[in-house]
Amino acid sequence: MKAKAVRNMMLRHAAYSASLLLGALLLAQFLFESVPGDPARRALGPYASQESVIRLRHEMGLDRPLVERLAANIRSALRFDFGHSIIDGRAVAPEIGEKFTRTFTLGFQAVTIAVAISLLLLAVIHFQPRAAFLLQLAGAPVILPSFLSAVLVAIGAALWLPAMFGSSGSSRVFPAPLLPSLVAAIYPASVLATSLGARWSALRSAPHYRSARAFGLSRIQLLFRALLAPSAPTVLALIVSQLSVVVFALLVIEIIFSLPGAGTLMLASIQANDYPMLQGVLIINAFVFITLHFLSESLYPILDPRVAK
Amino acid sequence: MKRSHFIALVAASIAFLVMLPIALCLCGHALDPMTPNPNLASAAPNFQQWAGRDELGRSVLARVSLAAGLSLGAASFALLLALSLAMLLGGLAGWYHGQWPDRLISWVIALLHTIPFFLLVVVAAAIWRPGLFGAFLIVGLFVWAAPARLARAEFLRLRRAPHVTAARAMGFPASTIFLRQTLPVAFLPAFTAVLILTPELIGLDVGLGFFGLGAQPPTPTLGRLLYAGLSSLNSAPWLAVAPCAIVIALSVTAFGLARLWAKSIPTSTRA
Repeated sequence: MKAKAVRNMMLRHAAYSASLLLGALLLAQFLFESVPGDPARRALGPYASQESVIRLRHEMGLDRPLVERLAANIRSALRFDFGHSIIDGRAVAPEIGEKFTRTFTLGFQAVTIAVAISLLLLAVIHFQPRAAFLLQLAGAPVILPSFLSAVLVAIGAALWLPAMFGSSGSSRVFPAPLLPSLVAAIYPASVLATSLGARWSALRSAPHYRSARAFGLSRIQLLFRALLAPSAPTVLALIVSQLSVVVFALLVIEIIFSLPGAGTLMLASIQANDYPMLQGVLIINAFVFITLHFLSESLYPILDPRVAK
Repeated sequence: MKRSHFIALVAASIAFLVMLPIALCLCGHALDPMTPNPNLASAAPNFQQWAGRDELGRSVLARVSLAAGLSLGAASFALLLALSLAMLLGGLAGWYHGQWPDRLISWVIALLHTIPFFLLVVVAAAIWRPGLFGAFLIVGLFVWAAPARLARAEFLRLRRAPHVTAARAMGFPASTIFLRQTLPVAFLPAFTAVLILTPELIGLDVGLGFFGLGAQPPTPTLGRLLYAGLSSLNSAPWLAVAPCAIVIALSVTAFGLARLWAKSIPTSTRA
């Protein structure tokens, strides 16, 4: 009975995620339909010949009616084919795949660092309550814009630590360069520490915590069983939501550190009005994040058995 | 919270979101932010120019003041737009819980919540190439999802609240109950959620500036000045100090106001 309920819930989530994906495709289509003027002319510039504009219009499907274009776009999105870049004619999907893999690796690394730092801080406070003032300090970056702390530290590091940030080692994908991900981890670490700190202080006055203490559980058992386990769904939700903040702070950080990643790709495509590339970026990222949300929601019944009931 | 304190808080918020940007813009204009002065290029701060001059010899104080006014004004414009959308759509969704308006609006909220917000804004700005206020119009159109979710939950809870049941029993029409019994109560959490986004929106300007979107030169915005200042940190460190200081000051003020608003939510209605 319970397994069936969980399966039904998963199916419902999957259908909902698929509808969100369709919504993202429609939103992208709407955005790119609303390009002021002729997209092909805008992309190629005022000096391009009329034939090449007509060829590009045909390639982008602009000479077909809207419904046909939409159907064709959905079909090619299902095949992961987003056309070719206007700048140099490379296929969009592999290019985005390569560049965003770098950025997402950096992002995952940053979020992992952030989780480690914030849990370590909270554990220290758990064992030594007098260190609680550290939590107040750790909350400071939340007040500032998420970019600001990252940009400030990144530029400071680029000025004073040239040996560490050198982009010579940056051609690897994993492990990604450490300094950019450390810089990107500042804001999510702060958010995680403050939100989890608030959650834990609420848990400390919950009945289960008091009875666990009355049963004489040691501090370390309390930490893992009475605080960490009940807040696991919160941690998961925070990780997913912070990942999107981090990835897009990284677009800017990558430009500062001149790393070859999604940031530089976006910069070049924006400057050249490379519409197929921008559309691909939007749809592929929507796909990635909808999948991530779906996966995290599928984990909820495991982390929080009440959801499955 | 005492009534007089609440009125003071409302006044302080209006002063911060509406009057401060106007005053900063007027101050900036009065101090002449645009005229270049090549003889004094990159002059260090002195008693005439408290914040020094930039690489074209323009007054940094005037530019920072104008930029702060424009950035804060654009941010509060986006926030007020997002707040109205959030109250309207979140309210409708909560009011018609489980029916098609709720399903549709919740679906749109979920969609905007899953697609990374910054990416959406950057792509939309890359397509439409709007100016500063156009960019923040886009921001306002995309940022309402989180406060709308709160407003929806609030309306959902309020449908069963005793004072709403009482009003219904007294025979008030649904529109009156919506406007007078639920909207004012649901407004507080949504406004708090929106106010806390202010620093983020000022920071968004930095991000847009990196991609050459948003306001175009010579219009100064905090993002642009911050970027310019940080990229010449070795030769003219004073260029970065003033914009940094004012971003921090505005962020801390917005955060403090949001904290006070959060405290103003009556404990009896707090979740």
